[in-house]
Amino acid sequence: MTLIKPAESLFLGLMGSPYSSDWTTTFFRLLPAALAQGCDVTVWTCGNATSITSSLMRRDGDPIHPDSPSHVCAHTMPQMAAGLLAAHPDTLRWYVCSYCMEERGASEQIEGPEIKLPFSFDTYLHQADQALVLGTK
Amino acid sequence: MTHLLIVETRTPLDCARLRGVELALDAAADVGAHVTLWLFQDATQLLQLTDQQALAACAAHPRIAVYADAFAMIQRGVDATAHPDVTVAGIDLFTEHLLAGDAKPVWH
Repeated sequence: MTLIKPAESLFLGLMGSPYSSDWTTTFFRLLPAALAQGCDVTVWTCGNATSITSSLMRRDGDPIHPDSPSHVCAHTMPQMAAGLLAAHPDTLRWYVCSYCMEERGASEQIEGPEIKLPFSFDTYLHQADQALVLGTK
Repeated sequence: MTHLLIVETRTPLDCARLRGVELALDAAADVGAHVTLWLFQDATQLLQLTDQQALAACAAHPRIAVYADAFAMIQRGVDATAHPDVTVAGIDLFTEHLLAGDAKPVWH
């Protein structure tokens, strides 16, 4: 019998627009859950998802709360990302695709995420034990 | 044996094809895969749509386990007892499934 080792690192690829559906709600619930379970997490944003960490995002009062839908979260997505990065400096890495970011004028990023060339996506993807891409159609 | 962890987020009312549900049924039938199907976001409404055919086929399949995200159900007012063969659970259990190491995750 082969024992399967649980994944110790997770790659989360984000492809969709922040407000195109509820996928960002799922993401902001999944990310802290994975970190709480002791997993090293790499987040990679492509396309419109690069604006999740845009410092210019000004949509306040998003109804996102990681614990309960009965709460209304007062934080924007960039604030939530910044909070998670500050709380998990050793286990969370957040990479933003440079081409996607520049194409969309989302170059004003919060502190914390690192800007990477597109082809490095493959490197980080294969470094992780497990991967999930969210926001795709 | 192949183990797929499939996330379905759509309903037939907003998407022409439920590719996550279709993949679950095809993989279980064609290649004998073990499938864990999670209903997230709008897909939790599958539990109370009039047309229950696809979900019932998944729930009845011996190699498909169906879970629904409790958070999304509360957001959408979906009755947690709507489908007795579907396990209602939270993001922590989904994360455990994702990190279990043997599953190939697919998002739709």
